[in-house]
Amino acid sequence: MTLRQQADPWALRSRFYGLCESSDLRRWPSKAGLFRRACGQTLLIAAGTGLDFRHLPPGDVIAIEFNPAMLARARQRIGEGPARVTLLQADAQSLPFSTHVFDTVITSCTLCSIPNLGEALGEIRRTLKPGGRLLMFEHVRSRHPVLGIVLDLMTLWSRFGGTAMNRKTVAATHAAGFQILRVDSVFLDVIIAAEAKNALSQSVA
Amino acid sequence: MASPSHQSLREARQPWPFRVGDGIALMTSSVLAALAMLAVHLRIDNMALASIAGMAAAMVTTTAFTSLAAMALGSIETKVPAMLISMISPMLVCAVAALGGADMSVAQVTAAAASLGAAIAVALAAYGHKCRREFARGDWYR
Repeated sequence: MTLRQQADPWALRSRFYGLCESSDLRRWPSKAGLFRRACGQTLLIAAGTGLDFRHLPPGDVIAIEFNPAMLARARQRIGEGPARVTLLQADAQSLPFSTHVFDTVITSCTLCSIPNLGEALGEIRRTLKPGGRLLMFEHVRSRHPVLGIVLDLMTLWSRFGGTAMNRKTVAATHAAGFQILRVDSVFLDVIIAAEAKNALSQSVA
Repeated sequence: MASPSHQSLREARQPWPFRVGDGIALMTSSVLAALAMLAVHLRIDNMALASIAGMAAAMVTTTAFTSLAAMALGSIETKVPAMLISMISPMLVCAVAALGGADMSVAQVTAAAASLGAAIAVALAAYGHKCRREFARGDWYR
């Protein structure tokens, strides 16, 4: 392992992700219920270690991951579910795809960790077909004032690991030009499963 | 109109083992945080210093416990409520020491912190129910 990899929090986290993956025991019914709504050409953003491959519905899915260490682990999970997954290394803030190519984009505990949320949402809008669906399984800042402060405090140190616990992701998605179709509570209003539609017109590149 | 499968997702509640586990984890976090504060109070006489050091000790203790509990109950699902309780429960010890002029016993702290943990667990469960109701109505964006 190089010095650069050691300094990369995601490379380090990829080695310990197995310990956190038991969260999936609790979350999988909500994830599977949300991802079942994917249809057509689908893009999974930030596949991580590939834990979510097993929850994807049958069909072709392009999965991207930025970090090489995560990517290596995800590669071992291809074929775990019914979806035919193609794994690529790419950055969500600069998607290497043409405009309006995907029918569905899926994010799973992703938008909390992308440095520039607005840029990533802009790229998702660009690559989604007009009327295409964005399916988000995300943790967000609670609307409750006390829980909101708790998440702000937790972000003080979670930020060092590359994660913001207090993002207003649904509001940001709405502001980015998506029509929010529904939001479901998975855990309080901290973990949510949401579906949004790209309200973008064909003319926008 | 939402499909039946989506409707069932919307109204989904956590399976009971997780709800029971959440309650036990929250009560345990509360007790550990309060006992950490008590341990510091029994060693340091300066009230302000004891409160700051005790709060740090409570956070460290709770974080260590929740890192283990998270393996069974989920990471965020465990850590967010535990962070909340670890800010409130140690204050019990400080408040009694400040107002009463004497430290509580270990048994008193354990009983009070466990009760507080149970009360917060019930309050969070009620808030979760309220969130599900609001989201089902489409009232997610206040």
